[in-house]
Amino acid sequence: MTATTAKVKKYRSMRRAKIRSTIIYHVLVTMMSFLMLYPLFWMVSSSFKPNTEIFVNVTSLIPIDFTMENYVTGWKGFAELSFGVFFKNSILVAVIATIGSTFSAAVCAFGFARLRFPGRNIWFVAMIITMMLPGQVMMIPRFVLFNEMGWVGTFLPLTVPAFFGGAFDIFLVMQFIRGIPRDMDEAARIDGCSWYGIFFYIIIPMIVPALVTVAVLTFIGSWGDFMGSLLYLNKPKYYTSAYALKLFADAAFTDYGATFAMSTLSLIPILTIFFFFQKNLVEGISIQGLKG
Amino acid sequence: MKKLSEIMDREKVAGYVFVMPFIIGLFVFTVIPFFTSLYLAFTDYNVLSEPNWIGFDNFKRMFFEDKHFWNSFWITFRFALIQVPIKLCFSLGVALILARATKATGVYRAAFYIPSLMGGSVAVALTWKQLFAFKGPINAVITAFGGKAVKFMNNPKITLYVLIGLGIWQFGSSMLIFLAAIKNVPASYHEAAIVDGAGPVTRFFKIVLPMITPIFFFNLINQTIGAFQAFNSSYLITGGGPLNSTLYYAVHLYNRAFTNYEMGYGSAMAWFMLLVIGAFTALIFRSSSAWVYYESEGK
Amino acid sequence: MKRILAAILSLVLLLGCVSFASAEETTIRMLWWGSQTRHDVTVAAVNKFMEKYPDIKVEVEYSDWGGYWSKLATQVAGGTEPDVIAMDYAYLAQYAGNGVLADLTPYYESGAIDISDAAASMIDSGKINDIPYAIPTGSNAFVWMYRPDVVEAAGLTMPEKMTQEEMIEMNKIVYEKTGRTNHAHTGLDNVRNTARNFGGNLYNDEGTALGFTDPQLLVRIWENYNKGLEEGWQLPVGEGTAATSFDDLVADYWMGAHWTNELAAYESGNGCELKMLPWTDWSDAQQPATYFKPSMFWSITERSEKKDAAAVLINFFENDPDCFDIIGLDRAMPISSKIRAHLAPNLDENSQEIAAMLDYLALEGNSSPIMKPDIAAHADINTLWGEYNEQVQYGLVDDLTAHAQAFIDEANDIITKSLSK
Repeated sequence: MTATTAKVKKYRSMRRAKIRSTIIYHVLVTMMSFLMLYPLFWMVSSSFKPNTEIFVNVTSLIPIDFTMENYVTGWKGFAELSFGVFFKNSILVAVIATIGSTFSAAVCAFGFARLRFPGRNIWFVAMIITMMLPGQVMMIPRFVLFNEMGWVGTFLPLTVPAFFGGAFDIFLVMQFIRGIPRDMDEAARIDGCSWYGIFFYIIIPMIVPALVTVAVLTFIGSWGDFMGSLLYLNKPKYYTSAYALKLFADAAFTDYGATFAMSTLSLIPILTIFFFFQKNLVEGISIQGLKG
Repeated sequence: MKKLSEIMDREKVAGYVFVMPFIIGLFVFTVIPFFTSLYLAFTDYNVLSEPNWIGFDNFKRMFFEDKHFWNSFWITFRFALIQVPIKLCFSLGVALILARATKATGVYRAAFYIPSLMGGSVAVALTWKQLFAFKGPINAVITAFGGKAVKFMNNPKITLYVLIGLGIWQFGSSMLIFLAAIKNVPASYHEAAIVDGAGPVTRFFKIVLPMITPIFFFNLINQTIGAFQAFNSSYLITGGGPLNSTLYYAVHLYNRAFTNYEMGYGSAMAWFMLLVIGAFTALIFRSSSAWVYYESEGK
Repeated sequence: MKRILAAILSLVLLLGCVSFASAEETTIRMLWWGSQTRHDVTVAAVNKFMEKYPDIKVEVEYSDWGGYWSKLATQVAGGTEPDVIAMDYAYLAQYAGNGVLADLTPYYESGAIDISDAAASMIDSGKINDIPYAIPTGSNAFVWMYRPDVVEAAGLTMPEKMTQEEMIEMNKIVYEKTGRTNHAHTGLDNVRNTARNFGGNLYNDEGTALGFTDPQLLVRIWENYNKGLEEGWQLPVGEGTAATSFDDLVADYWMGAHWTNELAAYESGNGCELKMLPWTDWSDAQQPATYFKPSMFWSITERSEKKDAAAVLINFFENDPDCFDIIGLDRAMPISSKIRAHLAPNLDENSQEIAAMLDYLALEGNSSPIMKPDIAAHADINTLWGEYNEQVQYGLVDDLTAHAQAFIDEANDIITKSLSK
């Protein structure tokens, strides 16, 4: 065996090992994905089963009696308000809340993470404490407050608070900013750049992945929130889809078929948002590359 | 005009300008409800009529009379203690796997995130129940291998772990946050390390892990608070049973406050929880200087 | 910062466009719970109402059952509760006791709400301390729904009615012949019915304690359960296949106890034909347990400033044939005899079965008078019973009598405490 053939052999076996590891990676991850997705598949397949089949033919993902009926009944909505109306409301609320909380989280987080001002620690502790009180007991006092403000019955309670910074979001973005070296803003300061300039031109481009994360989480949170809509919205034409999904359920009888059908549809917007933002998440790194 | 912009650029002033939205929000939306609930903790408020001051009666009842109070407290404590570490490791692991950039990664990420998107929906609750039902798929596998079917949903010793499993399975948001953090580690650091001959394991422990400690810290705080406030899985799947073995603190609180309209008592319970969570969070914060690395502060 | 403020301000203006009703007409708000069918028909009926009474505008709000009591309570806390609300038997005492509901006496007296065609017992069911706070929308009875195909497969025929003991015997035969299991009813409904069989009730008339003192009443319920386990027809807890009570009847059981107005829901929910059997009294019962329960109520809220218009709307939902042409039996069998007669010719098969069952139960000797609405501590008692019952089902109890006595003592203690508050 000559030295060259040994080298070639080694090279080939390395390449083979690499291919093998790639295949193992994809097989394993695909299998795990399937496990993760099982409930989704179950829900989607149930949405094509008649109500009488959903819990009888429970383990099979393939409907015996395939039907679109659930989508027809579900989309019909309630009393001439189709699900389209509820989706439109949800999109409006979620988009506004997302813009608000992403922007305010970035602004406040910069203040907390980079600037020294008197009382900073006190405000920070106050912020952390507000995350700790179980939300259930705030519901009624908050309702009373919004009612005094004349906001009940409008989208305001569901959207405006987002513009004033959620504690979790601020804290998350803060942690990202604290991980960025100060050399660039110090250099910019020396060049006469204002704090506002540093925020917009230096920090913002570097925390895109964090902001995208906040945006995705807020959108999803707002999309799935039915409690807010249950408490604050009165007129059915303002109901959001998360709340409307509950309206298929009575004390004795729940139309599971229609619930699953509309739940399936309501996943489409959040999945779209997810895929859309995920691209930005990747782009975030290329800007990041400038830094090193 | 120049003067104004100069004042605005002073660090103290600029600091307040930046955190102003939070401060306004705190005073307008949070302070009043927050302290109202503290006041209500000392009343017999039943939602339907005006509250009356009853001093420490709610707390007395909580500590000495309510037989579910300590029970639910310890359940929640155990739940948090088991779930938080597993969930953090798991979501960090998956984030590392998915940080690898292949064409399929986008699809995988979505797949791993979907369980969290579905959140506390009826569909998740029902599938989870079905999976672990006496005649469900998991027992089918167990019996196929010659095992004995397990009453997952009806054994006070086991059911809590089924719910912990559900909590771990919905690791999507902490994974997403880890993923963003890993992506934030400059590629140049990796390149330099590769030149120095560092393997992936070394790079993880020497570069990635230290760089993401601030985010690990965030997730730890976030998950700890979330675990103490856990509600959905018990409320939707087991209703607290069997034999109250999955009656989380938040579920007990909700039952008191909204099913029985004992909002005063519920508020007292909430404020006790606030103190407990506060103590834990303070501990984590205290410890953080030892293990969290902030690039900006060079430590 | 200014720009942000301006943006927020314009948002506020954009989103805050609350519509204002014109001054000439009275606007009232109405809230109920239900699922799709009920929302559809109720809104259609409200539209019909506004056509007939053009000077009253009705703004509707609806919710699912689970969210209803949070939504309503929150609105009461904020002082913005609607004028007309749906009420349930389990919450009536609590809402009336806290002054949320208006006294309906003036409207009964003036005839604004016409009760002349309703049975007095039905009207009385909405009274707390002799004051009518709520008017029933219709009546129900608690019956067994069973699968005739299983009974037939076991070679049996179902009698017109039977005793608890006969039913236990039948469970055994069906299990031996077909292998199909069933359940011994150990719910709080059976506790109530057993107590009623022996002249008591779940709670006493004053609402100050449980309506029975004999622990043996509970022991016999649990003994049936244990007997079922021994004989094999009772599925041990945790071994069921079903995820909801609909598929109970498909997968494991052949009988279930439900309210009559739920017949159609259970039939369409599990896809099996179902027949009804009156509640099974104990063979040594002193009186039948069955009573007619109001399915739900309408109430006017005390703080409403438009009570007169609210009364007109409620009267429409109680007595107007045009309304019932739209909503049918959705809120159970109407309490007005005129309306029942109006509906009779057009009922579908299911509704006819329900009507026939209710008529049969109304015969002398098949039912007994209704009790007072459940006390405010009912939710607690319900939970407590669930705990005691679970312990028996898990086989953790040796001395059933002592266990039953412990339940009675603890329940009475809870009731006493809730009254002293």
